[in-house]
Amino acid sequence: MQTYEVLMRPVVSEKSTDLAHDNKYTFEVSPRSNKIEIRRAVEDRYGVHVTGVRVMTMPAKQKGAGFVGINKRRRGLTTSWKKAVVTVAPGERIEDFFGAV
Amino acid sequence: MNVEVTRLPESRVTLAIELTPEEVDGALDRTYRQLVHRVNIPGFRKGKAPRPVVERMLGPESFLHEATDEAVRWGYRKAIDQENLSPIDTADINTSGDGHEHLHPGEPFHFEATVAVRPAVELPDYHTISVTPPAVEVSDDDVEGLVTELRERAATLEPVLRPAQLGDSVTMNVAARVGGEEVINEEEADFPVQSPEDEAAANPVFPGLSEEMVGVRPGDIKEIALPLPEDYPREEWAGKTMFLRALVKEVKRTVLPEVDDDFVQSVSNFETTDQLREALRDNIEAERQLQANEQLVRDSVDALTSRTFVDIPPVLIEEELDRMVKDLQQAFEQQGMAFDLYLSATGKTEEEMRNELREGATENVKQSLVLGALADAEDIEISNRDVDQEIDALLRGLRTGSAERRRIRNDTDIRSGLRSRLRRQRAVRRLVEIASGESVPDAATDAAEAEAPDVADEASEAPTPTAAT
Repeated sequence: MQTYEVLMRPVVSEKSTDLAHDNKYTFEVSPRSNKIEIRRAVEDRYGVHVTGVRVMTMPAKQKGAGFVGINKRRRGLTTSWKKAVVTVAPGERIEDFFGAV
Repeated sequence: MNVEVTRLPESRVTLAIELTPEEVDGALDRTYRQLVHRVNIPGFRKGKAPRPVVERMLGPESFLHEATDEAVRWGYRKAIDQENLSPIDTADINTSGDGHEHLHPGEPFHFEATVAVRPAVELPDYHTISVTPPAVEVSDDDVEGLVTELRERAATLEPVLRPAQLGDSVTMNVAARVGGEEVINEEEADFPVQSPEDEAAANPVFPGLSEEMVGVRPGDIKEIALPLPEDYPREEWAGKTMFLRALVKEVKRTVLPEVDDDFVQSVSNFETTDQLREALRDNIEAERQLQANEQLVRDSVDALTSRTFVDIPPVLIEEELDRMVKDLQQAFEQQGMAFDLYLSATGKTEEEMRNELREGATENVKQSLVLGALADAEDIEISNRDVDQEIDALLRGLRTGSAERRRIRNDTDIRSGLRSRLRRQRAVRRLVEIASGESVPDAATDAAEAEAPDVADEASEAPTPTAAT
């Protein structure tokens, strides 16, 4: 997989901001990618050394008015997605992480 | 920060202000910290987003715009402080002096602010001002004049048989026609026979009738054609002739009472004529002393202001005009008269009226500024206790609730207004002492000073500008 296929977008939130202070950068990644591909993609795009990759699948959530309707009828789901938290070697940082939304 | 001050006429000042890169960054930082609490950014609670995120969210242009406003506000205020200026209106800001519409991070930022400041007043050597207090004299004639007035008020009428003279009163049945129409038909009407001067002063209904009545006796019938003047108050009669027919019933002489103790007791609370005369003399003297004091205050203040040149900024004059027009308006409305109606009655526009008032307004402003400067020069300070006492004095006798009283006592606007008024009053008093070697009571200074507006101390809270980008 190519870098652009793996790294879909940085995750900018309060939590990811706090993590970034510990050199941990959060991305939404392709559901078909694996840790090795993610490591390679981040090192390729940002020119840093990656010391760790953690991945998780963010579950789909029910959406729509009332969440669970009458007769347990489903109102719809958000798409589930894959999130990766990448740890970068101490002393290195991803410069325009927040600028790259 | 680097500030260059250029003085312009009419007490205006241009400040060329240059902020260092550090100060520019400070402004950017403050802007971020203000904005972060206002904008909603998904993924963050309010106030929690980091600066790059906020900047991107708003767009760099508008972020820099906000930061420019902040930098201008901050730099302007600091420059005013640093240069010890007292602005009196809103500053005109020019940020595009060096081609940059707004500031850039890490670069110095240059802008210019033009503002009218409280004019500097160069007082002349006021210690050389010398004003002679007007002399207060009361002559015997003044007293006798009042005594005569009292006698005339207490005069009685006494029927006589001789022909009527000036000063008599004639009782008559009278009928009058104007233009063939009967306008008056009265019986037993009393008519005072007056000298032409007295008659003119009394604004008579029948001008010239007194003259005709001299010499009449009881029982006479007089037929008189009386031409009415062109300016007769009743327009439809003006210039016409009034035909009068009068049957004289009685001629009465005016008898002035003798000035003796009985007369004194009947018209006053005094016992003897000497007491009355003395009291009258005292009254006249007190009244003239009051006028003399006011005159002295006016002369002293005029002497000082006429020797002082002040380059008065137009804003102050316009503000004073606003105030004067508002006062006029209120005065009319209190009398239940619409101000617009007055304007249309006199055929003047508000603008024309302002022009008429402008000279007086200029004088008021100048006086206030000069007295403020004098108070500065003489180190006149008004303590909080003085202000409290003044407020108490003003509220005394008024029916105000205690909550209302407390509110007034704590109102900073009222307090600072009173403070500057007291300050000018003291300045006037000091000036009068210097100029005449005499001291006058506060009341007199108040009269001369009441007109002056509060310009001198108003400048402490300057209006803040925004960038004109």
